[in-house]
Amino acid sequence: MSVTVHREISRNSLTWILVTNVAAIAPHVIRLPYWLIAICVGCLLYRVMVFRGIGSFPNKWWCAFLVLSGGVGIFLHYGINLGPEAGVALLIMSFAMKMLEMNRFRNAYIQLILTYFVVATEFLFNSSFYMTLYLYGVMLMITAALIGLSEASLSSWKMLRLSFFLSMQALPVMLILFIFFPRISPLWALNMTGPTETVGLRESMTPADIAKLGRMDRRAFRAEFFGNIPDQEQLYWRGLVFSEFDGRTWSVSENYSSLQRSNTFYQLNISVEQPGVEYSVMLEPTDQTHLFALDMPQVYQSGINFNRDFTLTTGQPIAQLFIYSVRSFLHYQAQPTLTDRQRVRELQFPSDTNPRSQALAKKWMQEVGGDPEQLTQKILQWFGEDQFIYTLSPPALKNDIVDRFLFDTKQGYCSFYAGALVFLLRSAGVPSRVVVGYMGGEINPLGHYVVVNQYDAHAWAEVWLEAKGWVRVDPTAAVAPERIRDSVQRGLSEKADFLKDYPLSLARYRHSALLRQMWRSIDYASFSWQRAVVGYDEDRQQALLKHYFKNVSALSIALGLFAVVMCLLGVLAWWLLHTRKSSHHDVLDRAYVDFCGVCAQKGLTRKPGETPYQFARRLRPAMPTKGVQIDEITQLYMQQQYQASASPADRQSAVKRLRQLAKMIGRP
Amino acid sequence: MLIKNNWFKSRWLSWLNKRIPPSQSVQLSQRQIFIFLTRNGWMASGVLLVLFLGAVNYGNSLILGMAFWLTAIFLVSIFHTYRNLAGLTIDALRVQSCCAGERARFYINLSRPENGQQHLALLLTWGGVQQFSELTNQLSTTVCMALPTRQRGCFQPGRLNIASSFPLGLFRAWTWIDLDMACWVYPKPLPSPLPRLQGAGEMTEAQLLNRVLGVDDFEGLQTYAPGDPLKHVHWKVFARTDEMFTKTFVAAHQPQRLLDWSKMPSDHLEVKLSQLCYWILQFAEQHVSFALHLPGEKVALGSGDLHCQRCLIALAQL
Repeated sequence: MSVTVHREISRNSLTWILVTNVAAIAPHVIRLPYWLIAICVGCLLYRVMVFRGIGSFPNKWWCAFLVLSGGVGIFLHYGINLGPEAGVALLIMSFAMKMLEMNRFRNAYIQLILTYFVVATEFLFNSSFYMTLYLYGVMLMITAALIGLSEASLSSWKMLRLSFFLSMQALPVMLILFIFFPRISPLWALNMTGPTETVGLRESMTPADIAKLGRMDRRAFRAEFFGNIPDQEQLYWRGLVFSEFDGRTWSVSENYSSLQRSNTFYQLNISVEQPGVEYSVMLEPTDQTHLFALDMPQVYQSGINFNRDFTLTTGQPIAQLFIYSVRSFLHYQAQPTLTDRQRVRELQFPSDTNPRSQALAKKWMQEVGGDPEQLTQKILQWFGEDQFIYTLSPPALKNDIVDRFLFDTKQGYCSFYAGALVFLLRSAGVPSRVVVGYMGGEINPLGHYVVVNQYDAHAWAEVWLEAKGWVRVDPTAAVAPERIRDSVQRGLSEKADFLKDYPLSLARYRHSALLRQMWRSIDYASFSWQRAVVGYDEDRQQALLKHYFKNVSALSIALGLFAVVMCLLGVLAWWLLHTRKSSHHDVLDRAYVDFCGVCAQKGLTRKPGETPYQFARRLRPAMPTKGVQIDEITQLYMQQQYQASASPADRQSAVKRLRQLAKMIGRP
Repeated sequence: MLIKNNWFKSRWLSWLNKRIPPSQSVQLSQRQIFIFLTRNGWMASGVLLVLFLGAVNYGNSLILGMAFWLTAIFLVSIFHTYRNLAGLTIDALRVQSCCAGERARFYINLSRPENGQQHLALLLTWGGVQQFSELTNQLSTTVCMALPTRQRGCFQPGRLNIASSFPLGLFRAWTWIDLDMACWVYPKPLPSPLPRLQGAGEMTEAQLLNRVLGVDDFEGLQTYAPGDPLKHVHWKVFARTDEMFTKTFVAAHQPQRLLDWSKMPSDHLEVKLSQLCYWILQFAEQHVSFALHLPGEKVALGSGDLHCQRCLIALAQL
């Protein structure tokens, strides 16, 4: 026969659990499919109804049916290939459904511990400073809810306070572990799909694509320079090279994309002029493999390839903030000779399209006497002088897009001009190609770095000239020089269509000095956060350790780390556990205890429970010469201790006298 | 298997006896407190491990930071869990005996020093009974645990388990203390007719009882002896003379007030004891004096609570 106490979840803790659950799921909502959000809300409402006494917990068949159909829904929505996003969706679904069976104590614990997990997964998608602050706040709440679960009588305020104390006491250990715990490379390869919606430039381009990016206020990357930041006109961030044209779409040549490997400048026949500029790029997730760098980039980082079209790629799509260091040589000579195969590739175009453009190019080529450089100049001049308009919302084009653009609409964005230029040059037999990437960026003087946004996306051309090699030609500079000189926002911000989908974007109002300053400060905080915390990886850790502990082996660092953590915990344990014994003894008590100590030295120890009078009675025969002092001490002590009217001054002099007397007794 | 289990159990108990010897007052400290992960703690550790692996594999600093922070919080919570028990003093107070099958009440006192820590969410488990208690604002509290009994005899509930998994529920601190408390469990009362008396015919139980009561006529006064029911003290005489006298009453059938083991209408030892117990309780309720004859022990004629208790203990001990 045994009687077990069944604990019910108190209403206060249940409220806490539900609130933390909502707080943990909230940031995920933007990525979840609508039906899943509906399931979450439904589960929550149903649980609240049960909480308020309407309805009862669903039986297990219902639960099984819900879980099964939800799982099927996830597979239908995301496919079999479970990336982090689908995994998180599955987690959140089961998490929401777990609310329905949260009736027992143990289930509540499981629910809360899972909440930690749900909170952590948000970091896969968002690593901003403010999100981190929010998520750590939710973590604090979960800890508070756990506390409330173990002790129902605590008030919410006390739960939060204890949770805060716990977290703060744990903070030093956490920081030490974060900085010194050996960062290791991934244990096994993961299928990282990252954000399902590809952000930024893609592997192919129709002219309208870049215009879409041009309206997007979203950061592409930051580049921190070690040394002088090059002039705005030199900030051409090469991303992709398009050599393939099918009459409508420009795309990366099959040949290049299949031959991604690390080449050296020597292999590619590139000569550069020292010194280069050094910088480190913090690339936001793109779900693509290409990286951005100024021409000609050189990278010594495993996992990054330098390709034959002078671009950089990684082996895996970039699913979260990616940091890489580059040295770029702004003055270079690339491939002064072309192989036949290269020449064929860079001259390819569908010859049955855009007849007017082809004819014009051939005519002009004859006019300039077959000099590609002069032909390029002539075309650029035409772009600048004729009624070409640079706009983010050009009219839509169908069939023979180059012809329609060059001769009819004459309105377009950078990709229109770059594409048209390359088409004209190729028609005239000049090897050339389209390069896309970003142009310019905003320098933040607070941190010596450049912020490049999606609206800085740009397309330009690269022309191959005999003996000079590949030369960058930007037709946009001929049409809208202010776009190149001042970076896009100042060139365009007066125009109505710039960032028209982002009425609240700070970039729109950047001509206000105050707002600009504010934006810079906020961005700088976010930059520092990314650099110091989010980007703190294996390489950075090693650099830091090398800087402070030269020639220290990994083993000794690990041992040192262990020792430091143990010491920290030891200090904490001492501080938490040692009982402050003297705190409730006041000075008077202590003086009397000292007197007892003196007597103890003479072999007369005060017994437990013996009153001062009893003790004195026992002392007197043992120390006949000190009888007067013993009596006085006892009298004084009892008087001070039990007399209500004793003033603090009296008390102090009594303590003084007590100590004197104790000393006198101590003397032989 | 059973033998092996028993062997382990005895080894465990002897080790425990050495580590936490039986005592009527125990203050919990390192020596008495054990601490380990709870089931939830194991689960949380699993989640931490998954977080850590995920953070490493995705190269995500912030998840790693969170995993480290949670690890640190869990480690720190060990101290808090320990502190929640440390310093708690448990004192044995008293025990209320009972009949077999009823619950014996064990009173213990929980206290803490004036400058000590609060003790929250304490789960006391003793003899299969669980009870929550806590020491928050008060310095001491008395806990009564009603423990079920089965057999007559000396009842020792074994070690008292005090546990708490405050604050996070991931670690559980507990102790097994032996408060050296025991009580006598009396036989379970069993209604039965009183044994047939010489010369008298068969009588029903009710009649017998009535008879005993019916002849409770005033007989005289005798000097008061401790244990005499206060109801029977002759207060008027006391007021006059300052001497206490007890009024005595006589029953018509003097022999009936002797409860004799050998005369009980059963052959079975336990049944006889149960029947005796029933009559002792009946007489005590009616304030009747009686004597008890058991093999090897004789309790002289008497009445009152002490007398009753003495008789019941004699039954329990037999």
